[in-house]
Amino acid sequence: MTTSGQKGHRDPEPPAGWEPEHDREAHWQAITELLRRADQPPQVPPARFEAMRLELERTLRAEGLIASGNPGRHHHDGFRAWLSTVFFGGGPGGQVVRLGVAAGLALFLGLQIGNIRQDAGETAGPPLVAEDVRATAPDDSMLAARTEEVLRTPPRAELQPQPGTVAIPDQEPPIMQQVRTRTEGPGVAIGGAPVTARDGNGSRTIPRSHLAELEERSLWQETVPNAQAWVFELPRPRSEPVLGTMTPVSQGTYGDQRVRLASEALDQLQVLKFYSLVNRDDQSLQEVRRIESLLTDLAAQTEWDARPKTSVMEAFRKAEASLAAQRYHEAQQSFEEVTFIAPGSAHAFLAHFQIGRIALEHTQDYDLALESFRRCLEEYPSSVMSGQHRRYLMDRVMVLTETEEEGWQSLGWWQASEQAQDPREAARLLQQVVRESSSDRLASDAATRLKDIVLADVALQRVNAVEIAEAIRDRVARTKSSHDAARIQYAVAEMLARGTTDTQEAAREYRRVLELTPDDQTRRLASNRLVQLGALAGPE
Amino acid sequence: MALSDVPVSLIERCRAGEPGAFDELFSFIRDDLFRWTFSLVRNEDDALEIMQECFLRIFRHLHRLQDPNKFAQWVSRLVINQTNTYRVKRRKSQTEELEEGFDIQEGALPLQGKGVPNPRKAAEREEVFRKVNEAIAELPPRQRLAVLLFDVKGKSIREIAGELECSEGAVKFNIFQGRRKLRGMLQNYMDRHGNLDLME
Repeated sequence: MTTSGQKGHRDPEPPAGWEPEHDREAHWQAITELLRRADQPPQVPPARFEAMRLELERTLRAEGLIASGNPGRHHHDGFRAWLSTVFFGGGPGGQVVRLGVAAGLALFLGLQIGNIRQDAGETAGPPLVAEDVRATAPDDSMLAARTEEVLRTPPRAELQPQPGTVAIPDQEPPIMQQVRTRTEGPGVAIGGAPVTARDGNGSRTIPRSHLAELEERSLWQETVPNAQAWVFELPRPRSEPVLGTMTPVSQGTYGDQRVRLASEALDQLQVLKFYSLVNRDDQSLQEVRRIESLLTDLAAQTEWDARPKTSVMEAFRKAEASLAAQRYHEAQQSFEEVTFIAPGSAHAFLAHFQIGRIALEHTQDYDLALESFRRCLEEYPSSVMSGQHRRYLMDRVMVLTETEEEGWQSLGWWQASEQAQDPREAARLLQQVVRESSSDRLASDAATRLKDIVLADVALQRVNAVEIAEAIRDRVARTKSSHDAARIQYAVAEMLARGTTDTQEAAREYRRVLELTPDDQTRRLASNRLVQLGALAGPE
Repeated sequence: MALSDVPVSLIERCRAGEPGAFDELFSFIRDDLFRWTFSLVRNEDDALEIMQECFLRIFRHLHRLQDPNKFAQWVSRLVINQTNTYRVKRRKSQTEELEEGFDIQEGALPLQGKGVPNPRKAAEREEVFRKVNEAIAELPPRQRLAVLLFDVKGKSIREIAGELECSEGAVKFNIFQGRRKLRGMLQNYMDRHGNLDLME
C-alpha cells in the first residue's frame, strides 16, 4: 500500500506520532486555503438540473423503476398510449407502421441536427478563429496570412523540438542577467541579442518549438553583443490574455516571437502598453514599464543612438507621472507634447489614445475623446494595432458619435453605474441605458453588463432576474444592428434561464438569439446553451 | 440540503417506487451531490456527467442498501467509485483539445471602469485554481480522497476510514503522502506568484 507508482520506490512513512491536525510544515496552511478556495463549484443553472432530472426520469421509467404516475410533471397519458399502440401494437400491419414511423423520425432528427449545426456554425477549433479574424479585419492580408500560418501549425502535442538548431549556453552571460527580465508567468521576455543557429548562418529565427525549451531552461544567449534587442511573447495557453499580444491569433497556444532592433523594440513596447491599457491590466503595464526602463539602459550600451528618442520618452514619462497623480489636464498637455515631438510614432499613437481615454473616463470631455480616438484610427497604420484592438477604438468612436445627439446622456448613466456601490442601483442605471440609449452598441454592452451584475448577485438574481429581463426585452425589437439585438436577446435569455426551471422556455429564448443573426461569439454561447438544453427541449 | 439529512422515510418511499419520491430525493440531494462530485473532478461538465450516472445507480441499486441510515456514506462511496471509473475511461479516450480562447469582446465594454473585473486578474485567479486542480488530479486516488475529505470537507479520520473502507492508520498515511506531494507541486508555484495575493 505504501509504494508509489514507480517501481522499487517506497514513499516515506510519516514521522512517529504524526497527526494531520498538527502538521506544522511550512506552507501547509496556505495550501489548505488554496485547496478550499479552489473547491468552489460554479452555479449551475436550474434548467440544467431540470434537464438532467427529465433525462433520468425517462431512463428510470423505461427501466420500470419509477411508477408511471411519478412524478407527473409532463403527463401525456393519451399521447403515450397512442405511441404505445403504434410501436407495440400487434400484427404485421403494426410492424409496417413501426418501420415507417421510425424511418420518418430518423429523417426528421437528421434534418434537425443538420439545421442546428448550420445555425451554430462550426463552433469548435481553428476554423472559428479564422472566421473571427477574417470578420474582424477582412482587408488585412498580413493578418490573414498569419492566421493561415497559425492554423497550419500542428497542435502543441505534435510539435517536436529540432535538436541541433539552437545552441543554448550552460551559463547566462552577465550582461544578460542585468537586462533580462521575465514576467511572472507568461508574458514578455526581453533579451540582448539573437540566438545563434548552430549551423552558423546567424539566423535570428527561433523555431517556435524551441520557445518552450528556452523558457524551461530559463536561459538566453547573447552572442552578438551591443547589436540588437529582441522582444517576444512566451508561449502560453490561449486562456491567458493580453501581454505581448501582437495579433489576435498570436494569443494562441504558441505565442509570438519576433526579433527587433532596440528602437523597434521600444516602439513595440508602446503597443504593448496600449494593449495593457485596453485590457485595464495594471500589472502588465508595470511589467512593460520595467522592461522599457531596462531596454533604455541596454540601448545606452549599444551602438544604437538613443538620443532621438530621449525627448519623446521624457515627455511621455512626465505625462504618465501626471496621470498616476490624477492631474488629468496636466497629463493631457504632456501627452499632446509627445504628439508634436514625434508625430506618426508609436509614442504619439499611444499619447492620442491616452488623451482620449482621460477625456472619456475622467474629465468627461466627450468631444475631445471622440477627436482623439478618431485620430488614432485615421492617422496610424493598421500595423500598430491588431484588428481586435482597432475594433475596440472603433467601438468607442461609434458609441460617442451615436450618443452625441442625445448629449451623451446614456454615457453618463453608464459611468454612474460604474461608480454605484449598490448592485441594485447599478442595475437600475444600466436598464436605463439599455432602454434609452441612442447607440445600439452601448445598449447591447449595457445589457451584457447588466446580465453579469444580476447573475453575480444572488439576491438580485432570485428576486429580479426575470423582471429585469422582461423590462429590457422590447429593446431587442428596436435595435437595428442584428449583432447587438442578438447580444441583448442573449442577456435576456441568460437571466430568464436562471430564473426558470422550464427547459423548453429557456431553449426558446436561446433559439431567438440564433434567429437574430448574432456575431460568432454570441452564436457560440447561445449554441452551447442549446446543446446543454436542446436534446431535452422536445420536438419544438 | 446535505446528503446526511435525507430522511429515512424518503429513502423507503423511493425503494417502494412511490410516485413523487424520485423527484423529492433528486431535489433534496442534487446540490450536495454536485458539490461533492465537483470537488473530486473540478470540472462542471464532468461533474454533471458523473452526477447523472450516480443518480442512475442510486435509483437502480437503492434496494440493495441494507441500512437506510447509512445512505450518505453509501452515496459518497458510489460517487468515489464512479469518479474513478470516469477518470479511467476519460484517460483512455482523452485527446489533446484546443483550449477556448480569450476573446477581448467578453471584457471590452466601451467604458470599462472600476467595477469591471480585470481580465488579467481573473485569468490569474483561474490559473491558480487550475494549478491547484491539476495538482490534486495528479495525486493517486486514495491520497487525493484522503486530503480532500480531511482538509477540504473537514471530515474526521474515523469518518474517512469508514468511507474509504480502510484503517485509520492508512488514512493518516494517505493524508501525509498527499500533502507532501501537493506541497511539492504547489510550493514553487506559490512562491513565484506570491500565491494568496492572487486570490484577493
